[in-house]
Amino acid sequence: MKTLAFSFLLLFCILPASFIIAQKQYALPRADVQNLEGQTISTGTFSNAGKPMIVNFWATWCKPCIAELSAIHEEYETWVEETGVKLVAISIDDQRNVDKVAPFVNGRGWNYEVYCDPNGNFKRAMSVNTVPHTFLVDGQGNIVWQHNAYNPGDEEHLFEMIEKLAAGKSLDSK
Amino acid sequence: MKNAILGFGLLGFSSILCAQTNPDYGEIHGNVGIDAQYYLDDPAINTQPVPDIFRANSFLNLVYTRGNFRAGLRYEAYMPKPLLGFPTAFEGHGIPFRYAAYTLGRLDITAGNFYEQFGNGLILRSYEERALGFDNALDGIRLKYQPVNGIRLTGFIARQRFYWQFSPGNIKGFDAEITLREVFPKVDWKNWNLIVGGSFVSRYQPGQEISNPDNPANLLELPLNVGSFSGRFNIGCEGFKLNAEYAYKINDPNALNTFIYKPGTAAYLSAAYSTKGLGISLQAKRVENFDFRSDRNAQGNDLLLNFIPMLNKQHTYALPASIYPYAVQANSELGWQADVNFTTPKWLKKKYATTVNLNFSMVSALDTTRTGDRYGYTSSAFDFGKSYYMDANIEIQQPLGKKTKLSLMYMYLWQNQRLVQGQGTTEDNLIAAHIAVVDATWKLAKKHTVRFEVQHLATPALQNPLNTLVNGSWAMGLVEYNFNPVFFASAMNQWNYGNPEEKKQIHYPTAMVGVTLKTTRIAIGYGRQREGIICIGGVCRQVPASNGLTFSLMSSF
Repeated sequence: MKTLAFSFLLLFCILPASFIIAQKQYALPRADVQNLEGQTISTGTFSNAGKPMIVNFWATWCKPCIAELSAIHEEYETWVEETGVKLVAISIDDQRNVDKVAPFVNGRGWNYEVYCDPNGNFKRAMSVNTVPHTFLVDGQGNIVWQHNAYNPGDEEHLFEMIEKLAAGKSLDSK
Repeated sequence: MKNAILGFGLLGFSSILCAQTNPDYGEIHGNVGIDAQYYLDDPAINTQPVPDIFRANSFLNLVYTRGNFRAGLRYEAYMPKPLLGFPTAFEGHGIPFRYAAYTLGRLDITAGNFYEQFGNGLILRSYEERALGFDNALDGIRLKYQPVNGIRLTGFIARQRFYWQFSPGNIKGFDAEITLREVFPKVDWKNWNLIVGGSFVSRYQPGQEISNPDNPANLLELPLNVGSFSGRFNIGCEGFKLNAEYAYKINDPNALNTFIYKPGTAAYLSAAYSTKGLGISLQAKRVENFDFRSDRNAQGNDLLLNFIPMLNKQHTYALPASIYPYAVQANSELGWQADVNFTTPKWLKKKYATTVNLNFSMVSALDTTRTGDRYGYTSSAFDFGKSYYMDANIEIQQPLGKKTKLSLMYMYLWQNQRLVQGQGTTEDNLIAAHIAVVDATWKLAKKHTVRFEVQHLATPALQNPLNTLVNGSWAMGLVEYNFNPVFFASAMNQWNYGNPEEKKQIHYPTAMVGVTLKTTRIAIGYGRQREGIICIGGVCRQVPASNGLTFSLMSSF
């Protein structure tokens, strides 16, 4: 009986309450990650000089993640030119693959700023369940949009959001 | 329990009040997940009778931050019982994870639960792998301090989570890491980056009466404190990177090393070079008697303190990943891996570049000689003993146009299955398999995509397989339809058509439909789950066969 009551509490009170209270915009949380040289860096230093920033969680073993980053790679130069956006890729690979991340990224010719989060510090701080998970951060360092999973074509929608953000429009505007 | 409910309520509702009235009162975020299954009886695949036919694993994480203060908790519920394949000790519900933390200039203090990894994890890694039911969170006090830029000190004293209880051992740990470029910024480092580190982890566990296996009349004299040390460095320069760590553990008689007094050692070495369009890496490791836990009697995935990285490719296609997976042998391993990634260069003037990954790995046991004394055995430094596993594979990705993408993979796998699964060496089950995968994505129209996967595993049937339901060749097919970014549907079938027993040539069909709404994903499925071993990130667990309806919800907010 007790367990039943508790599950009802979870499903009907705490869950909806959590959805309501979660702010639409919030600041990028701080956690320690590693750059590709193995140096510890705080995510508090992430910035793109007032321009929009994409924070993308991925892993070398995640096929949809690679598909997403490869698709963005084809358009990236245009995106940067038009909006000044920067993509920060956070690999959640653990120690088994951490040393393979730099060869993996360079082997594909990606121009992203890449960090490793081998024990999930930043992943937990950002409440990421599964990869890929993409966040859009505005020029003030606030998370303004996020999306989980990737299917071919999703990057077009992401770019629309970036364009609106770069033009100072509301993300809900048409 | 009452306290937990009270705490939960208080945190939840106080933050509701705060967060809504004024953003200066802080921010609250988190994620939630429910995995439920309704079990059906299916004698063909050996399902065991399930008394509670509807089961669900759920969790809710809440993280609150305000300025330099942060706090969080995780509620977990496994009701009425955990899903099949998860440790039964999870049964119940409660708040096993809660913490408060504060950053004061260069000092960061955490009280309550935390996760931590020292260096490469050889002597300490505390983490959560929810899909496997693995959580070895620490619970205690942790301090992190940066006396000057580039020097990071971490110290903690804690016990480890053991389902709804705590480890019998108390753990103390200390780690120091120095990034020389930051400590001496005036030195001209050019492009060199040198990072050195060292750590110490010790377990204190009260003594107990365990009789000496060689002389049952006598009790073993057990060390109450077991210390382990490690040193590491990381050198990088213009695309080159060398990462090495060596760890040592004093005598630690435990259930998994059959209570011998031999000290343990572990060494990990990685060298990598990469430049635009090409990446090469080589890794090697040697592990001897290095199973380290917060309880000398723990087994399976319980109370692990350290993490020995596996040195083979982390496969994700179903047949290579799940039919004959490899599991780390923390007591005896010598292995290496080579991995190459490249993309065809632009001067080839191909419209769509081809991406290639080549990977080779092999792992053996150490070459050992039994001594019969309390140290158990002696070993040779670099001689290979019995082989565990070998894997050679190539993966090619090639866009065929704006709308079609193709991935191909071939893999040769060799495995001494009985040895890998710790079932003795007398009767070796040697597996040799060729695996091929074709994976094609086709964009039908804007927002509509279809993906196909065909996989084949060819291997001769064995006379005496470890599992008669996994024997001989397999075929698998998958089709997936996506309506971006909202809806997906998929159907898959795995078929052990090469099984020598005709009634065991079983099909394992599954179907799933779901919706993704920004960061919420809801899916409903039906299907058969094969009995076997599931491995994620180097940890494996045995899952029994099942058949039924599944429901899953994942969301972050």
